[in-house]
Amino acid sequence: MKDQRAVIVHIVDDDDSMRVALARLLSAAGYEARTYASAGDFLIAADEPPSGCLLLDLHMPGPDGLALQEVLRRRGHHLPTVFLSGRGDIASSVRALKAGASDFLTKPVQAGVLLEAVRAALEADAPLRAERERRRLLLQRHSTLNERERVVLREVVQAR
Amino acid sequence: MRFAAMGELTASIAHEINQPLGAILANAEAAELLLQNGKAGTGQLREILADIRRDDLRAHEVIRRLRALLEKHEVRHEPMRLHSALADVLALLAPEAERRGVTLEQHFDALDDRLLGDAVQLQQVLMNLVLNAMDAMEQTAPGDRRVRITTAERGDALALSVADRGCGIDAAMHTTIFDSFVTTKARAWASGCRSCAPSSRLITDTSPWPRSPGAAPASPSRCRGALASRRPNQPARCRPPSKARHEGSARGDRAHR
Repeated sequence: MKDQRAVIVHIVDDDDSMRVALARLLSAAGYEARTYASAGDFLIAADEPPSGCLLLDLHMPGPDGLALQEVLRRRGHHLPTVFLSGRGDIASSVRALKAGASDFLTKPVQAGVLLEAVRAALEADAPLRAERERRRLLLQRHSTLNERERVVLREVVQAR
Repeated sequence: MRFAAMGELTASIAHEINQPLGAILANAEAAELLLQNGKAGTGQLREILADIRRDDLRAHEVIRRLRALLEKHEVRHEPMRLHSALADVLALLAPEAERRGVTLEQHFDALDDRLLGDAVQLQQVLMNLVLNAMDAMEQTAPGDRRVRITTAERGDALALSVADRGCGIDAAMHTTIFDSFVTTKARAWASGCRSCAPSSRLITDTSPWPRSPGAAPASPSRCRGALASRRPNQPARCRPPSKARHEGSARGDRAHR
């Protein structure tokens, strides 16, 4: 079911049964689900930079979902994020959305709504992701140039 | 029951129930999706069903605790177990404590927790005391917010104390702390210790604990105030047929502002 190109959904939720259930649901929908019990677990275990989509519980012991979102933003990781909360309070949802979350759902959430939110988050991120990837490759190539080649490149660009 | 307290707890309790409900829904829909795709293995479906059952019971347990607290009931003096009654309340309060960054420490040191009393009222008293204790620590540094709930045997009695690291009770208030609307809370809706005193009284037929509220608390925390009530000895006819050594006092030590 999980073909090699399956999109990763990172699930961060401190509630064991919720985490497992969400992973089952997303796997059944064809995603590669990875689970983390806390914000810290995610920061330690996820690839750097993480790819795919983040499904993030708002309230967790230790750093909460908003804190994780903030850390990722500071590190320059743009991971489309869908928040899930057991108690949807307005202040937190506003903060999350202002900080770039693509959706804010309250538990219990229906599969249709959840899968649509994940799909939309990934879709909205797709053009940005392509652009980020292009920049990353360019920077990577640029770093392989030696000093003389860099001078030549600069001259070429300026001469245009 | 202090209904304002329920208001404070609603969000936390809703969260506590929504968590298993959310998992149940996600599991059921995952199973449906697997069946739809023709990818459902018996083993996996069985796992999903087992998890659904467990989460259902988990939600049921929260509701059971809540109903026990909220139902109208006649005051009954019955044999009860102090520790399991307290543990139920602390389980209900746990998510709220977590939300406020408060650690609840329980030290159930009484070896024999059998008691003759009204479990629900005792639970209501504990709930009020712990909520007040948490309120009293709003200015306390987050890492220092602790409420310690202790039980101990004091001769023929059982003592229950709730101590916090909050702002304490001013000495001037010690004589009035059980009166209505006496409070150290700044907010206007606070109704004071009185809101829990009536129930303490019902259970305990309160008479002042010999020690003044300002006396050094037994607990090592920086609790500077104590709310005290003592349960007088049960009349002999109320004693359980076995050995009546546990009827003693319900006593709440607490800081309050």
